[in-house]
Amino acid sequence: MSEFTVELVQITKTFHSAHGRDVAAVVDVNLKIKAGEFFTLLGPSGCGKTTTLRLIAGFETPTSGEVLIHGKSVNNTPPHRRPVNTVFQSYALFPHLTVEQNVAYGLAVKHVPVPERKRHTAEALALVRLTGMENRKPGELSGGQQQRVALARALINRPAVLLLDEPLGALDLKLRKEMQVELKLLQAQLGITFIYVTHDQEEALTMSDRIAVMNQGRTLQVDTPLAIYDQPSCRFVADFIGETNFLLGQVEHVENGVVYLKVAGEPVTVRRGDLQLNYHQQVALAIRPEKFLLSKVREMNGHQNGDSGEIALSGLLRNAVYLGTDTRYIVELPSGENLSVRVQNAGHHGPGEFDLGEQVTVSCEPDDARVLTD
Amino acid sequence: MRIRLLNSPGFYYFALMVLFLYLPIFLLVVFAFNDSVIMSFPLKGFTLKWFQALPQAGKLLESVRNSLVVGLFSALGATVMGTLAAIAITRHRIPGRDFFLAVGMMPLVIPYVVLGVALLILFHNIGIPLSLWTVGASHILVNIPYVMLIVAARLSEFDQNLEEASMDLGASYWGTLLRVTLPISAPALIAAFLACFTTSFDEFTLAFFLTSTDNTLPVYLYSQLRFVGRLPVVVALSALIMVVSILLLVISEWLRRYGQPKSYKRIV
Repeated sequence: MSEFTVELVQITKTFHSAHGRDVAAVVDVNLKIKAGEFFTLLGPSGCGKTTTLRLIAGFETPTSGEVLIHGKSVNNTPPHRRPVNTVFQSYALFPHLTVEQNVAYGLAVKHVPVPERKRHTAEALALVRLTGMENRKPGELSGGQQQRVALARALINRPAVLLLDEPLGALDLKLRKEMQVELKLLQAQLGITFIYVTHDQEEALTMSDRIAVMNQGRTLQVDTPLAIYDQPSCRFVADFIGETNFLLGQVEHVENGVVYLKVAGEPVTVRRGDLQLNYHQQVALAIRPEKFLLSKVREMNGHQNGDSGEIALSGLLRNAVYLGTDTRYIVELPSGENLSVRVQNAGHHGPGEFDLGEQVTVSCEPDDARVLTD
Repeated sequence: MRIRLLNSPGFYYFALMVLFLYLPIFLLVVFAFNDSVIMSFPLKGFTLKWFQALPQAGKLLESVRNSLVVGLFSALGATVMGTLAAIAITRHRIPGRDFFLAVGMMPLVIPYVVLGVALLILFHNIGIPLSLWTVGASHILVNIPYVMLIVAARLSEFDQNLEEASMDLGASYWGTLLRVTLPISAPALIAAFLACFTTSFDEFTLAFFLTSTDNTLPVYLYSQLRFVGRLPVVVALSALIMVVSILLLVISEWLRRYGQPKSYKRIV
């Protein structure tokens, strides 16, 4: 048996549209998902994440490539023979059946004896805290309750993998936060591999062991939430997850994994050993707003401090927006580029700290700046 | 409020329509109890003798039985076949779907007279003797489009994820059909069945062309119009059938609403 629960090998899925054009929903996707992992497919709508999930569930067959579950190809296995269950975005609860019959459905189709069925159903309902709701119809439940019925129904077959297609999308913010915690606890408790589809980057960051960021049918980066956030592989990932400032720069010199750049007319040094860069190549420097420090203008205005290697840029403070826990400043650089800076409102920091139009210095550690080529 | 209603020309139009629709039915019931063979005013007196004569009207009752049997079997056949066709057009990407749909809907636009003659020629040429079976077959043919329309409407309105969820949970294609698709479409199936039964029960043209010695009710009634003396019994039977069909309609409507979740009731 393979150490991976689910593997996608060179998967491509092309749909024929009504106008006779072929639309590639998923292109050359390779994924290896480990047993017990909380794996998230993250991307904007139409990026192919739901299609990827449906390929694993068996509702779609790949145009090329192979889907493996427990190391065995399931390309020719219909959905009902795959050890996989799905929680649908619309929940897809059977409206003609009670909550109990919905949850017991997977056992009923396998002709599990009634007493055993009853016992497992009661357990599953207890797991999602819906004991006492057995005889209700789905139409009589709230969105959150329907969501939990869908979860119990999918878990009763003890699948090797649970597929969740934006399961929290229809819930309000507060309930969604609660369910995020609940889902994560449930996953830890059951040890089942979860493959989770969402367009909500915050949800992905807080819940996942690993995230695959997708766009236009391709996986752009597959990594832990920390690595995705701190070391994005490309502009799209840096932009899609959280907020990022992009500064255009030019490669001056590369030596021992240290990149010497010219950014907004100023020399900047960052480490990026894993990239192949050419002299004068245009790159983007991605820096998160909260990584910046904002200070009154300094003596060594606009120059990189040689001792600490700190990146420092000067500009005019254009805007300050109070956001409660922190303040967002917009700083305009001499090059015309705007930087977004977030400073926590703690101690003496606050929106009144700087005056609009004031000359300020924006600085950050070189490791907080990421060189991106695309 | 009441004054305003009486001043509105729309109200009189509505009243006229209702009168036009229901006055004949009302008269039918009245004459069923009238003590005269002549269907005209003034009424002669109240009697139940026409109803009492019904059990003795052997040929008439036989035609009713024939119509019931043909109606039930053809409705069943049309419902099964029309439902399968509806599933095919709404759930599967079959090649030539539009052509198939057009062909399936054809009986809706072919005049029954033409269809009757055509089927008569066909049955004659392939050596199938005319009987209630041939009538039933023609009724299946003309009823399939109605079933397709009614059932396809229902199928396309409910979430296809439901069927995927069923297969995801371990049910095969046919298991899903039996456990999810058909139960959820049940109201449409019942409605389609009743529509087919009604159409078959009072269909005259095809039955007239395609039957031999066994008559269905409409054909028999038509043949009896020449005999004035038998008319009151026919009227009594018609009144009875009408009461039964209204009862059936009420029951089926009640059945349709019963057991549906509250959220559906608002829509349907």
